[in-house]
Amino acid sequence: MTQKKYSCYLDNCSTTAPDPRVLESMQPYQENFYANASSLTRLGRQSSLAVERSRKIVAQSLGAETDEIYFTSGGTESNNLAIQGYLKNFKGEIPHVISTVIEHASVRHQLRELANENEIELTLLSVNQQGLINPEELLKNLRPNTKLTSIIHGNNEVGSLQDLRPLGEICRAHQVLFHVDACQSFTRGKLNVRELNIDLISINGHKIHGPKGIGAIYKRKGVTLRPLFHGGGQEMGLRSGTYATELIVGLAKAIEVSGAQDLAQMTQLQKYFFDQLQKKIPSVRLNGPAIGSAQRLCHNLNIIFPGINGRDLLQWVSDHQLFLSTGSACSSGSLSPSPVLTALGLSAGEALSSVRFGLSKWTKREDLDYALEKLILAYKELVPKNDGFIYPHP
Amino acid sequence: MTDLSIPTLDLRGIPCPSNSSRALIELSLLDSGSEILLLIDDGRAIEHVQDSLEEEGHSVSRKQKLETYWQLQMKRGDF
Repeated sequence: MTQKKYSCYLDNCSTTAPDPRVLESMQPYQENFYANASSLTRLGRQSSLAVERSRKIVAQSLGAETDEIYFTSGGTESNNLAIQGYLKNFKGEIPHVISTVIEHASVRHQLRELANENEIELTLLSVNQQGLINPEELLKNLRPNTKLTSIIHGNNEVGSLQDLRPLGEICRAHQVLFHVDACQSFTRGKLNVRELNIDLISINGHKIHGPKGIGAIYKRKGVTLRPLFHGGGQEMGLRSGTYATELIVGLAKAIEVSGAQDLAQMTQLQKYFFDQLQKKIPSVRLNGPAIGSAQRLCHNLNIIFPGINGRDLLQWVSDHQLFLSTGSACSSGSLSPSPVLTALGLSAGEALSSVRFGLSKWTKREDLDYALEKLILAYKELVPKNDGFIYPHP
Repeated sequence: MTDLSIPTLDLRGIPCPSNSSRALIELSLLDSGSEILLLIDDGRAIEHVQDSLEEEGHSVSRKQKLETYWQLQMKRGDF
């Protein structure tokens, strides 16, 4: 009998394994209640009921009203719908948009393209070494034609968690729409759209142990978005396309089974892991806010391994069943240093030596001990080979 | 006259069958015999919602047409 190889998945900022309860909740809608949720037949109405129950669960998780939630295919679509859907209201004008230098690619690239096409004026707020923006900077950069502020809540690479309250207050006071990309932070702490004066929020399923291919957008009542594409007019005409009932049900179940106790546990494990790693490799450094602070996501660690290329480290540990990433999963195929890391003031070499760890509610101490063992072996083997690497070993 | 003591669910503008689904969800949260006031568009929507809710065992307490929409007061079925 062959023994199953131990493997350790610490890439949960890229995506998470679906919770078995999520898969179970989806199954009836794949096998039996598969009718179109827009159909008026009895079977269609059962599907519609599941969609609407799910909508209510999503709404409650954000402190929103049921009819302020619209389902999409995921975070990327939600971000595009929020930004471009809103900016379509200003045909013939050149609105000013404020965002940050540490946005996810789905925000960063569309804003850059809109600015290159002279469709918007764009200001990107800088961040400090922890990856946090200063709300005063938002205030200072407002212009008479500022229409939209788009801010990532929990950064997917360095784990910085912005304080949304002052940002929301500034936007509301100046009648600037406030969009929050909460894909990474959703269910990992309280997020109430009313209390925080948020007008639009993007969320998705696969970051929270839900299915891939499903997301949602919260749109405050009274805010007008224009659809990015046209079809059957589902989601009040905002997002056409047949309802993926099973995915919608899975998203709602993922929210229901997320628990506050998991967050405290992940923070403890974050601290344990970094402390142990630092004991064995004293030169490692943490990117982003301090572990345990209110400004850090509980499941993210981003660590510089001086003297080695993060890609080499990833490859080595991957061959030993330890799965990590160097940065955003959407851009980690790139050979250039992460723009998010360089925005924090890291040199290109430091950025290229950085590795991201993503914990989940199922991560155990023995997983981290396994990861520590492999990382230490990899480090010992790789450092001597990296004489020519641009970031010198201290 | 509208009874302000019962919850109201505004379904105007919500397409079928989402309107009846939302009404069923809210009814399911009530105690048996409790009532909810639904605001529903004229046309196919009022017919669809009323039929769907009655099919599920709920009953109409009051139905009134206003200018462009209906007020439909539903009583939760005893189950």
